Amino acid sequence: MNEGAQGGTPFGGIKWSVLFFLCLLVLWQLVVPFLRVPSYLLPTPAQIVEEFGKRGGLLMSQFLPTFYETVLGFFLGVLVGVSAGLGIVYSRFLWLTIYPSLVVVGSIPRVAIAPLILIWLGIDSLWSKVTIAFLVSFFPMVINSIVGFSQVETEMLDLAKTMGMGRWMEFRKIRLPNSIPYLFAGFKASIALAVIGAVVAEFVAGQKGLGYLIVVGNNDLNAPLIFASIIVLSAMSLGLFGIIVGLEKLLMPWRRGIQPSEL
Amino acid sequence: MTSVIQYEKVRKIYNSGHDEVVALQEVSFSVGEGEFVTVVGRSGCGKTTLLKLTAGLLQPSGGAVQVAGAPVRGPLTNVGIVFQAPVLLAWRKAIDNVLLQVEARKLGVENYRKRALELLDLTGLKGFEERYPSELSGGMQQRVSISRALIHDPPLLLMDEPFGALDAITRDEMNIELLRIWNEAKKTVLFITHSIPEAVFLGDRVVVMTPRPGKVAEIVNIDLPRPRTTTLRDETKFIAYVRQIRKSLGVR
Ligand SMILES: Nc1ncnc2c1ncn2[C@@H]1O[C@H](COP(=O)(O)OP(=O)(O)OP(=O)(O)O)[C@@H](O)[C@H]1O
Ligand SMILES: [Mg+2]
Repeated sequence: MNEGAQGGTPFGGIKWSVLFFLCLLVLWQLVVPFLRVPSYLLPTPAQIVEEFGKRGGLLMSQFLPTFYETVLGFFLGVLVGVSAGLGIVYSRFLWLTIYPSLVVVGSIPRVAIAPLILIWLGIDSLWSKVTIAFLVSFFPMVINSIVGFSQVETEMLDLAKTMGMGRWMEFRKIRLPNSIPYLFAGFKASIALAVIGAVVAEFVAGQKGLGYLIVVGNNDLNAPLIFASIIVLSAMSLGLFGIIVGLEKLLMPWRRGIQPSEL
Repeated sequence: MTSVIQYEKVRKIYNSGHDEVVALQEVSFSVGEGEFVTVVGRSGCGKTTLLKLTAGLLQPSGGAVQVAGAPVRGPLTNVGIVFQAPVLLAWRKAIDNVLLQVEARKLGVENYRKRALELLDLTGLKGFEERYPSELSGGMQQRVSISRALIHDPPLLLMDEPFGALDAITRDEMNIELLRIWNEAKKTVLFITHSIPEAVFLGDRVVVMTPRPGKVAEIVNIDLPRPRTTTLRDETKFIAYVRQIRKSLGVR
């Protein structure tokens, strides 16, 4: 959640971190041949760039399935998570039944059931991997939406009653806007988890996607391919995360004045 | 004078799991139509509890609260309430926080925009209409909340230490302003405060409460002329009232 800006203008330090990163790359490029590290253990940046040139098409074609799985899993997670959150906040029955068991669900290492899901829904189906990404990522959405919809000052709800607000208006004007910061915190956690879910699903399924490409690279002792895949994955994560942060800034103008450290 | 609020042996006991807190024990008094009644008492003596009971946001454990002749069973809607804290929506600008009252009552925001600006001006917030609560000081936030309580012109105002967060000068100004609004619009006001001089300055009567369990120690009729002005505070009669109430609160 911390945008990394320590006071001053946000991203004021970006120039320095880019410079630092470039130095690191140069150092890496120089040290690897010097220490005679074989390229199947650690390729040089130049070899990775070369790999991009050689297999750009392959990387692109394997990026798309991973992207779809991640995004669909994420959206499914948001949909199910927010609905579950709403249900739990508005229904005493669900609050008493589902809410406590959520803690148990939350503690299951959900990647561990990936193989089962692939057996049940089919190894080569897109939806089996979407389901895994969804299962891995939906949990923070449930918790954050419960908190967002219910953590409203009692006195605000009291005032709403004396203003004659009905439940629907109370939701629209108070609970929903109140939940936005919490929902965005949930989106950020969920998107990162959805990427993990999709990659793990591809590890296990071994059919396509960047996760599959990493497995291939591993079998062929092709470290440059592994690194290239990881870079594409990271860029995807970063891009998706950036979209969420951008939307957050757009939707919450009342928070613009607040420094990250206060969040 | 017909009474707008009537408390009859009102008791309130909070059950918080294992132990009980008797917040109010046998509170009886009434507030007449158009009357300005102030309530003073030490922290924790049940003042906020009394206000919430009046608004129908809490139910008494014993006795009865009547407003406009009918027992209070649920939240009242023909009131304006100012709580101890500003209770604003962080995502709404000052003016939109004031207009929430209008939106909720479906009175038509455009019909009330001018009035909202007037009230913000009246409470000294001219130029801050488009600010978010996080950009306002605590005292300024509280004045937004006062404007919100006034915009629908309610016949009954319930105010819980509304000026607690203000400096002495602004507080005096706001007192005068409130008296002006009250006098013009003929409202009934129940006003809770920590400040004895404020209670005397504003009130037709001052209800003095004793702490835990909350009871009415004394009700003091304030026989001072209106309209009241700041110089009133220097008069011997005013000072005598303050002294009397201070004594009845047990301050040595
Ligand atoms: N929701 C609650 N649950 C349990 N006890 C409560 C609750 N609200 C208030 N009390 C107790 O009731 C008593 C009266 O509280 P109240 O808030 O009415 O006091 P107050 O006179 O408004 O105090 P202050 O001047 O500090 O605002 C206190 O002892 C408090 O601990
Ligand atoms: Mg109080």
